[in-house]
Amino acid sequence: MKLAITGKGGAGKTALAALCTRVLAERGRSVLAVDLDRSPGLAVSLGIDPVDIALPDEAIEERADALYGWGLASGVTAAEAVARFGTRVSEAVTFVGQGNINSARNHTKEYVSAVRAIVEEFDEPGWDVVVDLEAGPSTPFQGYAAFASLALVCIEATPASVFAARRIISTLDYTGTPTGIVVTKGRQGDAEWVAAELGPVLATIPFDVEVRTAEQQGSLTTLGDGSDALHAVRLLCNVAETTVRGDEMMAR
Amino acid sequence: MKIVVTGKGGVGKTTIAAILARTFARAENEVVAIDADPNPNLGIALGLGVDETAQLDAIANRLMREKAAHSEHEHSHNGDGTHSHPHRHKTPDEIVEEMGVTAPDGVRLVLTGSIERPADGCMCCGSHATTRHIFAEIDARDRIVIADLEAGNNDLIWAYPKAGDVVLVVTEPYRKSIEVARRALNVCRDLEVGRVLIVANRVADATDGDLVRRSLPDVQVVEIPDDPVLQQADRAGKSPLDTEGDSGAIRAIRELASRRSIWSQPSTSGRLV
Repeated sequence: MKLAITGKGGAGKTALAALCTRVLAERGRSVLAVDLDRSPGLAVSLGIDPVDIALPDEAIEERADALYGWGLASGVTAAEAVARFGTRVSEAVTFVGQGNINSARNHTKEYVSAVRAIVEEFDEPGWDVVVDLEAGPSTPFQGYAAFASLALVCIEATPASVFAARRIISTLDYTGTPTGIVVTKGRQGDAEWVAAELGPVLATIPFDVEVRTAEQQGSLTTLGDGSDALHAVRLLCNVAETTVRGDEMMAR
Repeated sequence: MKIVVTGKGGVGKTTIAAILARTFARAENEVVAIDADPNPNLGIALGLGVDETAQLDAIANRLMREKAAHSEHEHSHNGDGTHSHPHRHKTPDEIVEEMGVTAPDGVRLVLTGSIERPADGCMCCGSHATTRHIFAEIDARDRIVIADLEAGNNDLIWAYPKAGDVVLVVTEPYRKSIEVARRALNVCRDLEVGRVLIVANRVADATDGDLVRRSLPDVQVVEIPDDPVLQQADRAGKSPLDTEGDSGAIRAIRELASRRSIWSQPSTSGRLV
């Protein structure tokens, strides 16, 4: 299964990506966790140091056919790239990012095609892929989520978050990407409010002070196994797996 | 004076930009607020209401529509062999005049670009390019221009603030947003921005403030307290100035607006606060 995680800034995309990664790993899957955000976030939440230069020079090459003129080095498959250039977070989890903007020259342009190619082509048995996208509709609009077997749109129960979700869902519909609405930091009545605005909700992740505490301290690796949010993400992963399997059967 | 508000997603950029804009406007400054987010929602925070904000047209969207309409009517030449361009290159002042809407307290709001339909072509590039054009070219000698950027540091490069501008880098007292803020400071240093301030938002206690100051030394830090009034207004789709009008965070932002040492002086009419 390949999950893309989108939504307004601050809605909890990165936390959800880190928790989905954890849940899938605890089920015995290998997980490729990818940060398609030019700001560090997923690395921090996974408990590794953010690296601004995401890939070594040998991983990319100048390619006329690639966005911004740089792509994955020819002859390197997605699986090889993950094995050679990914960061091992744990036995089960490998991280790949596109790097972070840290100067007035946006060097991440040189990596984005390579990382997108890895995400799009990677298809290894026993593996799931979890991709954290940048805040807002810009990168979904550019097709960054089109690889996904399911795109999760994170929504807090605020009008601004609904604005972002509408724009994102419209772009995902255009690329025919299956979409699920996830209410984040949920409190009483939020799921009903979001459903009235946008339609059926796939899952609700409750507001969980333990997540906030863990985020304050840095990574989500310190989050306890009994966390309410983690429990909700386990249920979400069940629903996601069922949805993706159902879509695959329909496709056959 | 030109002000840029940047930072990680969800740290409170839009809310802070809106309260600052209205605070400056209440002190009889002419204020132009630029919503540079391709998911524009500054109108909500300014108090225009959810429905009206949803209806607002954006500059890049309109230019694209005009361009499309123009190419459909290319045969409509003038008698002398020339033809009229319906989308002649407009100055930022003309664009603000034509496309701006007036928000509460007289703040003039413009949107650079809004992602509405996937078939709209490269609207996000259009939004970024429009932000650069408007923000760089607009005359801010006698007024305050405040741009609320898209989350992350890409839009900060696009906005291209200069030596005379002020950049507010908003952060929460969490590692993820501090990492984004640290990188925003590096971008600002490269661009040789004159004044850069860290706005530490949602500071609950002294530990939070210390974390931000310790993590980002050598830059002035302004604290905004954690405040349920802002969260409630956000959920209600309103400006906190119209719900409560006064609260810890609003007072802190007013206090920030009143610090003359931070803001460069507009040449004539500016009284600031």
